[in-house]
Amino acid sequence: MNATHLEDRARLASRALVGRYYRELDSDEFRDRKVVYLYTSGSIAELFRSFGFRIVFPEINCIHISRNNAAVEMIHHGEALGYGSHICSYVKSDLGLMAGPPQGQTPFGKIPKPDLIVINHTGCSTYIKWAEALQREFSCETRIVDVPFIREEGRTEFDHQYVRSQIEELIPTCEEMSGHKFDPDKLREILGLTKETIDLWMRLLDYGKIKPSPFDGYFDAVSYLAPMSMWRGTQDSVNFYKIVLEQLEERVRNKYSPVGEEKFRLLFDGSPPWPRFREFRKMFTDWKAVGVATTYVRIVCACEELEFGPDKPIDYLASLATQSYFNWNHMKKLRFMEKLARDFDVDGIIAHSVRSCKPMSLGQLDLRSYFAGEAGIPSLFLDSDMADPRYFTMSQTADRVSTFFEALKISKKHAAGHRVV
Amino acid sequence: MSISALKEKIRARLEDPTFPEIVSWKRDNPGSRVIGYFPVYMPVELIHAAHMLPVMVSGAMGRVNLDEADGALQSFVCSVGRSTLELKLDGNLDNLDGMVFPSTCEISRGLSGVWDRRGPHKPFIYLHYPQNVDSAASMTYLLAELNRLKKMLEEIGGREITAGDINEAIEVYNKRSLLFSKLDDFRVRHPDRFLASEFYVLRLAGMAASCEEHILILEEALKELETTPSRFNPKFRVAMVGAFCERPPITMLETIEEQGIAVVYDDFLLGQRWFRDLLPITDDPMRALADFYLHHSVSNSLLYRPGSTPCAEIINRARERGAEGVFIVSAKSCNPAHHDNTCIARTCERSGIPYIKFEFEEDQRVFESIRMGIEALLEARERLPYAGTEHMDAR
Amino acid sequence: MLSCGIDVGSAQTKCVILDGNRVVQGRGIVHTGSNLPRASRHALREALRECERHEYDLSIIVGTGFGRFAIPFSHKSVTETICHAMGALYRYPKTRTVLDMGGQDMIAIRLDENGNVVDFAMNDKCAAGTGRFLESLADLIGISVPDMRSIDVTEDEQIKVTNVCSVMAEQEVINHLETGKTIDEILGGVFMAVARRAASLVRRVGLVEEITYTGGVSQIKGIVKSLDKLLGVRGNAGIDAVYIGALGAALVGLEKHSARDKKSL
Repeated sequence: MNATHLEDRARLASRALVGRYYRELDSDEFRDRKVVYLYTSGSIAELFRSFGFRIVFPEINCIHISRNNAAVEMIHHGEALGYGSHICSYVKSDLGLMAGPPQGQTPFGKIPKPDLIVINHTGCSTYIKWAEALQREFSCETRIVDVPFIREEGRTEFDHQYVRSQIEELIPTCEEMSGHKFDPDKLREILGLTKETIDLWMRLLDYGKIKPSPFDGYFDAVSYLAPMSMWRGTQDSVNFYKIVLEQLEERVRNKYSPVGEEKFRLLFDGSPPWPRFREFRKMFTDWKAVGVATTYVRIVCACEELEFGPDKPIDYLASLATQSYFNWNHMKKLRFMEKLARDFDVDGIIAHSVRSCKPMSLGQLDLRSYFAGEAGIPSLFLDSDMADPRYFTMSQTADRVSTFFEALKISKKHAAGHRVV
Repeated sequence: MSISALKEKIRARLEDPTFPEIVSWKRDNPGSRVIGYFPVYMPVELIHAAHMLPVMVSGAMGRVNLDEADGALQSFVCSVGRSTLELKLDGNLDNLDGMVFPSTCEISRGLSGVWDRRGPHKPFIYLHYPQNVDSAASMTYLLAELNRLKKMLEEIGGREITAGDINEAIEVYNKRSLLFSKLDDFRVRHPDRFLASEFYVLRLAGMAASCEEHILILEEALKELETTPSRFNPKFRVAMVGAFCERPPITMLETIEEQGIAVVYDDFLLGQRWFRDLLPITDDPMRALADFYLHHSVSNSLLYRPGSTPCAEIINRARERGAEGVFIVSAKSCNPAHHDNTCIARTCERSGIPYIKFEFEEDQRVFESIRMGIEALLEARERLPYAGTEHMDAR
Repeated sequence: MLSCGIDVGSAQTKCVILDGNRVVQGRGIVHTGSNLPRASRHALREALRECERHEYDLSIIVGTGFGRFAIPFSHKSVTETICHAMGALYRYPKTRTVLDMGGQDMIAIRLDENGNVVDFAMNDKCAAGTGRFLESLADLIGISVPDMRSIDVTEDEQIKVTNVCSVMAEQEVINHLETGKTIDEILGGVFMAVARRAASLVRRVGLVEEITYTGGVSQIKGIVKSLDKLLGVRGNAGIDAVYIGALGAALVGLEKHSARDKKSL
């Protein structure tokens, strides 16, 4: 079976969807539609899709900017506006981008200004400051959907009612700005596609349990993530994940592994360093290591059974908003990672700490300590940034990765009965 | 006792990271409990109503070495976060009977889980305050959240907290708020007789003391001030903003004052002065607390209000108090402050208000760069008879 | 047979030659400078001179350290973590924790009862607490790092030096000098700052005795003493601590060579 052919289909399809997304954002065909800015964690994009808004995700723009090696320039612009080294590099690159000149121009398309900013405050308080900065720049309408942190085992009933009420309260603003009345049936239909997308996604992620894993559940999974964030609630996203699943099935039949011969199975926690994605990935593939699972991709969707379905659209949206992994407390994350490590039978855990993102990174040292110590799973801590390449030190990172695998290799040998020293 | 002597007495107690106040409280109030809380805002009236001592656990003023915390928290975590964890792991918080983390920022949120997992177990709760104050659902939500705290306190204390208990607590804290206002007013009108560093330390005295004890200290200070002579020659009056959570080092303030700067407005220890007005006494004090949080909080960097940020209000307040410049200060790595400080700096530039920006860390002992920044600012002012737009990053 | 290990560190390049019975035959140490291949060659030359052998007598050459990929004549490269672990275990067979304090990095390593690396931790990007940190402070104080080795000071609780930021540490040292503190007092504070940083790293992997200190910085008595105090142990710190990495690399070489021999049989 031609592995290159298999890989290209999924990647080509993803690229096509991303390209189309940015073209439509700036096309005459959709120019009369209002623009809403939303964040990815706990996104309620479907509500705005039902009203026909053009939806912009500033974080996703920043990811693509980073992958196109344009982040440093944008970050410099952001820093020139007065935002210092401790500020999230996504915020700086976005503010730099939108300040211009030229305003909103990326290597992959022009980002329109917001007519409305909705802060889905799920797990990240920096979203609020980010939105405030954009609001000052563009003097546009800003609303917030405040999502309580999952501070116990799960969300409480009053958490849910609070979030659901806030979503309902957005409807008059959406009606006024879009010129359309709220259509609950349309929203149900869109959310039906969302549910289908999420179900496909969860099935896809489970392929990492197979030995050998037919894909890299971290490096490939993040590349398959775009339609989940940008096109969720559309037939296009459903079709895309069906393509991916078909390919994975084909690979399983052929016992295909993205590294040839799978030697190490890993669980990854934390965002990848986007500007150095390829080099970072190579550090692991050189050791025939495959990321079979990751917590990172679960930021964009629930990874638990939800109480509500699309038939109760507002409740379902409220559940989606609340359940993001990003919004979980430390112990919930720890237990979930334990389960993933077990279910996916991993050899080790890689915690990639990104200095810009405190909600994602704070706690990783403790988690690493727990897994390497009490849980007895070799765990490596790496640190850089998700968007700012200046914080990625190739030699230091490569050294740590090499050390980790050397040690893992030796202890695997020892476990197989070979004496080491 | 003179104000400066009172300040030194309080300071000596503050600099002990072992919280001797908790030991004294438990000895003097057998069977009573102590509840710690991370900054900034905490409905301390509820803790008081439970007949417990609320203690703000806000780092250790540089008095602990981060031996254990360094292994659990990355270096981008602010020093108050790391030292608060260190306090627990060193055993300095063993006498607490419970701990509350509020939704101040991402550090508070992430820290709470690590704090809970490491070291000896303590009853613990995280409170998520609503950020959507305009929602019709926020009152119901916040009431439920405050009731979570109330329930935890009742379980720890083994007794129900009544509306009467809460109203009594509100009255005590209102009395303290009035004293804060009087002292604040005094330092604005007489910065030569009452230094900002003294006012700051007087407020710090309330962190681990009962409100009643704190009131006594403030009353003593107010009385003493009546006869305190002029002892400082202010060259320049400033507002100092951005250090609303982590406690700025007292020596940093003293360094600033040594150069003739009078701080006539600050937002230190914001949690103590979170509300614009005094809390009312009502039949439903839980609702009053919730209502006040939603509608009577001062404009600040931690509570979202659509279409507005604290920048404009800070500049207005600074002007009302006759501040001639603004010192924009923040704890290193403090995200909420850094974001808003950028806005404050730009507002100062547009309004022609001189400002300098600098950062601090809890255990910082040397403030050379701040000293140089202030010198430069004062020299520049001497050369320019009008308020220019001088600004410089001191760090 | 002879196995050679070369450790190219940021400050010094070390070479150790072992025979087939794991006995050290020769050692060499030079200043690394900016030309890493040349430094590795010079270190090798010194070690060969000591045992009166030639490069062609060597069965295998293993490189380690930050400059390991710059050794043009090595047969294999291995990370310093593994090498320090093996070297420390060889030198002190009861070692279960290793703390390598080098020029720009600190590494804490925990071993299991079989000598396998089970966990390790490296310092954050910031250089505070490493050899570079010491060098910059030494310049300010007016003392050289080699001279620091023999100074035996204990921490004076009054003299604190931050280990969070090198720039801030420099400011503090200047302040201490201006306020008349003695060199010994300041050094006490500096040593404790480095030791605290290092001890934190050890705690991240979990201290299991015995602990062995390796790397150039571990030759400074005052730091070792402070570390022992902080960790509540008596760590192993020999005068040959600086060679541990190269020794470990040579041991790796022995192992690789004997495995190769077995395979060809």
